[in-house]
Order: sequence, then C-alpha cells, then structure tokens
Amino acid sequence: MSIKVEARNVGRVFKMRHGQEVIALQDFNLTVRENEFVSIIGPSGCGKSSFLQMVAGLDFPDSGEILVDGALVNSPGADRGMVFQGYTLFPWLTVEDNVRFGLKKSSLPAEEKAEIVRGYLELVGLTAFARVYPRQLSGGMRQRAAIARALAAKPKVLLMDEPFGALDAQTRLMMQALLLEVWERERTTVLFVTHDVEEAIVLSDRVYLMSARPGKVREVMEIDIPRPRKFFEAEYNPKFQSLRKQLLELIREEVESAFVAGFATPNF
Amino acid sequence: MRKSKTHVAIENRQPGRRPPRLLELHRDISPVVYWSAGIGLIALVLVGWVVLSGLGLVKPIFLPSPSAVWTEFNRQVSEGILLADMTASLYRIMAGWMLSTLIALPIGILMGSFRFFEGLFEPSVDLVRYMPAVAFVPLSILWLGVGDSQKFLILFIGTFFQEVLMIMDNVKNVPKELVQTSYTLGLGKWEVLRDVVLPTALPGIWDTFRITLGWCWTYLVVAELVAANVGLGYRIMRAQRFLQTESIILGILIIGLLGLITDLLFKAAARRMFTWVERQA
Repeated sequence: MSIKVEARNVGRVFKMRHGQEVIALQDFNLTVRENEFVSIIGPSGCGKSSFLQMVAGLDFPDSGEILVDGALVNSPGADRGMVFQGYTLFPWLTVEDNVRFGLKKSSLPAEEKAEIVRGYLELVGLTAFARVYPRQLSGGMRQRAAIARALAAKPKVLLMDEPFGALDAQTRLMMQALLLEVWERERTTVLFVTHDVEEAIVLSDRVYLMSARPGKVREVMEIDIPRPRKFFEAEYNPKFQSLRKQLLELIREEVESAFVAGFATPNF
Repeated sequence: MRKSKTHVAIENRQPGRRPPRLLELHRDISPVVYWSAGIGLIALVLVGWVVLSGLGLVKPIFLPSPSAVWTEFNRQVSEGILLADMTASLYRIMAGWMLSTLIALPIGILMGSFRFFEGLFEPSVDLVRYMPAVAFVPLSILWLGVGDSQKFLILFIGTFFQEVLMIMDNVKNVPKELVQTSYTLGLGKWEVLRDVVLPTALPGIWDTFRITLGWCWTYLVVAELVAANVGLGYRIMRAQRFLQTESIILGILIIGLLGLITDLLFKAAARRMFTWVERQA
C-alpha cells in the first residue's frame, strides 16, 4: 500500500505575546498509508490539531517536513479535505448545495454531480433534509452534512479534527457508528484527531498516542480488530478491552503531566 | 390541625406555574404588552404636548400646538412645498449615501480581509471619523460651491468613515473555520472572498447599510445648513430665521418619519433576502 501522508521530524513552535515560546510539536513522525484510518490521540494542547492544520496546508512546520502523496505540503488543496469540530456548513446554502459546493472544482457534468450529491446525502442519512438550511439542523446533522461535503470532493486524505467533540454523548455514539459504517464502505484514507480513547480504537487501524507538550509520539498502537467491525459490540471484544486499558493508562500519565505543567503555559 | 398560611398559598397555586412577572431578565413577554408599551409612550408624549400647549402653559413660540403643526402641514402640502422638499432631500440623501457606500464597500471588504489594507487605511479613517461633519461645511463650499455636490460631500463625510469600519467588522466576523474549510475544498483566496466571505458577511453588511442610511437622515440639516433653497433641512433652517416653530417641528417629524420608513424597508428586505440567517433564540 502506498504512503499517503508522511511526517518527518516535524516541529512547530508558537511565539506567545510576551516573547515566550511554546513548543507544540517536536520530532513528530507519522505515516498514513492508502485506505488506512489513523487516529492521533493526546491530552489537549499537545499539538495534535496543529499537526492536522499543517497537513491541510493551513499552517506550516518550523522544522521537518510533511509529505502528502510524496509531495511537500505548501498550500491547502482539495486533495486534503477537512472536517472541523465547529460547524462549518455555509449558512446561506441548503444541505444539498453545501455538499455540491465540495464539487465546485470538478469538471463533471451537472447530472453526475447531482448523482454524487444524492449518493452522499443518502450515505449520511440526510436525504430528507436536502433542501433545508443549516440553521434548521441539529449539531449531529450538521456534522453529517459536513462529512458528506468533504467526502463528495473525493479527497486523497480526509482530515478530521475532533469532528464529534461538540456533540452530546448520545449523538456522538450515533455519529461514531455512522462514521465506522461509512468509512468501511468508502475506505477513504482518514487522519483523525480526537481525545476520546474508545472512539480512536473502534474507528482506527492505528492509533498514535501523543505526549503532553512538547508533542511527540509516545506510542503507536496497531488496532488489529478485524473489519467489518460492529460498533455497538466492540466494547465486548476482549481485544478492544485490553487496548482500551493500555491506552487509557498511557493517556492518563500524559494528561496528568500536562495538567501539572499546563498552568505554566497558555493553551491554544 | 390548622393549616399555615404558606400551606394555603401552595395549595391554591396552579401546579407547576408561577404567575409571570413583567420584568424578568431576557424573558419574552406577550406581544400585546410589548407593542402597547411602545405605542402608549408615544401617545403619552402626544397627550402631554396637547395639554401643555392647550392649557397655555407654554408660549406657542416655544411649543406650538399640534393643530398649528397640522395647519402648517396642510399649507405645505397644498402649496407643493413639502413634496418639493422631500424630493430634494431624498435625492441628496440617496446620492450622498450611495457615494459613501460605493467607496466604503470595497475598501471595507479589503480592510476586513487583508491585514495590509487594515494597516493602510485604519489610522487615517480613525483620525477623520471623529471630526465633526458640520465643521466641513465652509470648506465644502469653498471646494465644491453651493450646488448639490456640496450636500453630497457633507453627507459623505458624516457617513463614510464610520461605514467603512463597520463593513470591515462585518467581514471580520466571518468565522475563520468557514474560510479554512473553503481552502480545503480547493478554493483559491479570491474565490473564498467572493464565494464564501461575502455571502456570509452580507446580512451584516446590509444591516450596516440600514444604520448608515439612518445617519444620513440625521445629517440632512447639516448638509442643507447653507446655500440651499429647497429641502427638509433647509426648511427648518429658514423657519429658524422667522421663528416659525410649527414649521421646525413639522420638519423634524417628517425627517424622523422618512428615516423610520427607510429603516423599516431595509429590515423587511433583509427578512426576505436572508431567510437562512441563524437567529439566537
């Protein structure tokens, strides 16, 4: 399988207002192969979102390099779609037109685009809401539409920055189950940032655990639970249970050290 | 056993309901109360006016009676003065406001989108915007003479420097994540500006239009202060010379009313155009 995303010794330093420097990332290495679902998990402020921004080309490393499909990232592009934690549907467009917006750059004929839009709306279960404006949607529906929009653009890599972080616990479970199902059908290469251990294990092929600031890779875990996975049965799987235990113990150490150190430097 | 007083009170209360109070923080009240309060206040002021002038408590030269104002209104209508004044003033306001808006819109958008343009323009705009428009009247006459263009300039000075900053803010208020999302969907920066930033900022910009047009009405008298021979503001200035208080009050009322009407028209248009806007509950 070819390598889609490669990060080599990536470092990022943020300069704070009073001349302090915060090392967000240091010697960060990561590989995502084609059709893999890879998660980055770590305490808040560990630089995982900053890294995703750099893969998207919205920010740039101070040292090291990030390659997507073998090419150095130097600007944002449609090959790296992104789903954010906040709601990013365009408010003046209906759900359908939001998804179609993802195809703006494609030269496909209009009927084919309409077919694609219909397909993705169905995939995320929003067919009945195609003509509705975002303001009429719940948070979960907005994120489903945002995922449909990102997928419709057929990115080489889909970047997801805590996409369910703003949702309530029940909705989050439903969204995780939906994403698992959608992903196992589409197999789009995904790089997923989260702080939810169970979410990371259930969805991913591999999980990168990051250390507290400066963000480095603390542990890489292969999640060798066979696919297709059944979301609501995952927690009874002994492999899932042992992975969760391991990961929770490791992350607790990191969160604790972040908590102790965290008061010295501002979060961002 | 005797029941205590509080016991009785609790039993007599409807289950789960506390009688609504008039004043509660951010709490909605019935539309009947809402509107009658506003209309009631206006009625009260009118009644106060009738009483004050009717009882002869105030001399007509300070406060003419409503009927004197009404007579003046009929005179101006029948002599065609009012229509001519309204047409002239409306034309000046529209021209002055359009001039301001046509320049403020592109500059405000650039200032809100690119830090360079913000840095370039903001210091000068900030410097000028606290200068009183009325102080520019003599200069404006020197520069442009006594024609309509001098009135446009005064309205422009009164409006532009605030409007451009407001449009800048409207554009800045577009969520950063919408812009970032657009980049990751493959749009270039000018496409993001045209296809995402502008449509998102448009309801706010429209509101800025509404507010600044309202300011133009308040600057009308200043614009028609000198060197005018027609216009609602001119009529007021002329009435001052002859102490025709009823004409002054009529002029003020007409300007207020026209301002209110344009405001309502802009609001109604916004409701039709921006059905998608999310309102805070």
